[in-house]
Amino acid sequence: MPTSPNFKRVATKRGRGSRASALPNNASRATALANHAQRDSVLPTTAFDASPLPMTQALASGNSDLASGNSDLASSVSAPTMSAQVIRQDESAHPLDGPAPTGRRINTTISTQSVRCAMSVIPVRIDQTPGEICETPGCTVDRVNGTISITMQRDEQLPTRMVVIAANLNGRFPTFATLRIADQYRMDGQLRIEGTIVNEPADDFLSAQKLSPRIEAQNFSFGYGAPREVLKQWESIGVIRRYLVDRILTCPGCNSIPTWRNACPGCGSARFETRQLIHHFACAHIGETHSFETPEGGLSCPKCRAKHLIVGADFQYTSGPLECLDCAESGCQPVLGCMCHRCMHRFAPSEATEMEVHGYHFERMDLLDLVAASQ
Amino acid sequence: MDTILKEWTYWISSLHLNELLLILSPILLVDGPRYLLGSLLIALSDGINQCWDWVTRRDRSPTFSHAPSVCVIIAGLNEADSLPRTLESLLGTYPGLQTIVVDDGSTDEMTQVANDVAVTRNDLSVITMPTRGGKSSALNAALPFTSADIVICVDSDSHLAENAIWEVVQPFADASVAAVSGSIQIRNSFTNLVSRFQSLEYMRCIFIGRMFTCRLGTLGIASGAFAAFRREVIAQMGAWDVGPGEDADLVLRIRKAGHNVVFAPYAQCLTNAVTKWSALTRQRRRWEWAVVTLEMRKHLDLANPLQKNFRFNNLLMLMDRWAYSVVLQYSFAAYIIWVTWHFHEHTLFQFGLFYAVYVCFEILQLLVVLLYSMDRRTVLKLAWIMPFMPFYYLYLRLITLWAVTEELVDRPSYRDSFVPQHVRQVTWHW
Ligand SMILES: [Zn+2]
Ligand SMILES: [Zn+2]
Ligand SMILES: [Zn+2]
Repeated sequence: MPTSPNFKRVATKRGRGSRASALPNNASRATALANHAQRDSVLPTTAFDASPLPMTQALASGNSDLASGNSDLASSVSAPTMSAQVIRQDESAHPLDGPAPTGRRINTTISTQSVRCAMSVIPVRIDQTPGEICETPGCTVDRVNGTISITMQRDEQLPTRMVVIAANLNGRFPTFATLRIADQYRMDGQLRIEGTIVNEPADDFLSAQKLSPRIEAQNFSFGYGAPREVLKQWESIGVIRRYLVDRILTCPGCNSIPTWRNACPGCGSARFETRQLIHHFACAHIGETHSFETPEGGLSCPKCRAKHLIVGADFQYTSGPLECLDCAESGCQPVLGCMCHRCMHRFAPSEATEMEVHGYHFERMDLLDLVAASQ
Repeated sequence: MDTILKEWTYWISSLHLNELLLILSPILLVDGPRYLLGSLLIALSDGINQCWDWVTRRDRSPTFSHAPSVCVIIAGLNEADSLPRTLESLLGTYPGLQTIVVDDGSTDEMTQVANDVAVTRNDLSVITMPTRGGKSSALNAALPFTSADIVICVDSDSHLAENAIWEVVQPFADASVAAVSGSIQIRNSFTNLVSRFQSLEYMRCIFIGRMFTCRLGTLGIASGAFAAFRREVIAQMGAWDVGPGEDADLVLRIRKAGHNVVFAPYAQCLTNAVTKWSALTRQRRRWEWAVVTLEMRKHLDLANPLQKNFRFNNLLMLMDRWAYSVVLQYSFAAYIIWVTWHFHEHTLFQFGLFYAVYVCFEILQLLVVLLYSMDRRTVLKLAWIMPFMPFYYLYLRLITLWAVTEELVDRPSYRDSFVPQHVRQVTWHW
């Protein structure tokens, strides 16, 4: 059995790799699903429900199970102590993870396996938008090289070197992978493409990093690693799913993220000075620091005439009323206020506009999922 | 029982009038004037006044003509639960009312709760003390944040009755008045026997009692639960001193500075009475300690005729306090011991007679309370516990006796947890 150790090495290596990445991946998946389930109850339309395209309808045949079927996963992952257990479940469920289970017959002489499952191939255009969808009844997987070959009914070659493949491998919900085409050629009147699944986030145009919202400092707002229009198009065909990450309070004028700080209640400026006060414990007097200062340089209480006061033992400092440098306000306490640094608008927190921040989720398929589906 | 009652009435009827007066002399000469005469006098004078007004057709219905700027200070420790209701009850009760909540280093969510309300209102500010410093410093901390003419301190578990702020600021129209005491009444009157007793006691001692001392010009207290002060006057004297008894202390210092202190009977504040005997005992001990500390030690110079602002009513006020808290209590104890020592066949009858006279006093007091009360229903609903009131007052006398004795000898007030330890250590022990 010449390939067996090799296969095993690949398998364990992949297994480790997936184990190492399992925690964040599973966690994010679980939260995404949880968010999705939550969103189902709040917003009437989901990406899948709204999608009119036949491909997603076909692939999402088991979609109604999505929330309910995974709710146990989502709920178990939400508790941190349970996540380890979930990974173990994954491992035991995965046929190639860890040592090969006994009693399973593995074909060790031929490294290619065929996957019989309706798949969709979506070319990725130069501008990263989705191209015309091609349907195919399945693919073959080379476990050793990690390549995937897909044959489809198509006359001309694909205009791109990158495609997204979609398949409902688990019978419940479709998963997706980005495939880099190494070769494409015509054979028996059909188009055959060969390629590898893109695993490196840097190369993947739909990597988790590019789909999560992040603060763009120059705009004072959230953005993504890919243009919004592109993400909307992929969302509209159901490849990525939108979920709620956060609700933020933004500038009522320009929807930028404001700064939050203690401000003058009169004009909202943060340019104010607070007078320092001294609280003399022995007589409970609270007065301005300068009224305690003596010509000799020490501190003495103007109320009870106690001399040589020592901070901590005899008195403590407290903050006094503010004096605004931008308006006439004085003698009050600072309040919480916001300022937009894009349009320089100052406003009270109650005036802020609430906005939703969304992330996108890409239900990722990897080579092992395809291999598993082939057996 | 029946025979005892018969024998008792027979014993009373067998007494000559001068014998009866002799037996009752301790009550009629001491407790009678102190408790009853005052109430009856004000009722009588008001009655005559009202008749005269009716005859001369003069209209004296109250109008709120004085409207100074007002700031309410609510200083509290761990009052997150009761604070929102109190703030709500203040909302819109007075034009331009400023409210300052001072969190005296609470360990609960008090600052948080206050800030949540403050976000929606710009007439409310919240001050958080870095560490607990006691109620006095918490109240003082609010003063730099206001420029209102009148500051009113309100306890965070108190509830102001309608127009209470209007009522309490009216006396300030007289420029000589620097402090006005509100009237404290019990909110949880019907919780249990302890609260019922206190409810009647507050009506008698605060509502009617202060009305009388105010007219005599000897009012020496403005309860911290609801009192109003002229800000300039108290700011000048450094406002509140370290407690316990800081409310009475400030009033005495205001009097010492030559200002007047008055009572606004219809500026009513409803507060929760303690509902356990143990808590009541602790509260009253604290109050009596303050009498010893303030009226017998710290502010003894009010009685000094050579003092700059000496006034005869200040001396009268001190003498009343000494008489009531010390002389009366000790002589009462001595009298009881003497009577018990010379126990004879009629001693129990004598006690029975005392009891009967005290109940009569109570009934007369209640009639006066009814005459002035705005809430006569509550008064009448409480009337059935009247026969037990003498026992309650007896209990309070014993507490007074105990508290005054221990404070005179040992000064436990300077070990009281009412003031945090680091303050207790450095403050003056009068
Ligand atoms: Zn803006
Ligand atoms: Zn001092
Ligand atoms: Zn300002």
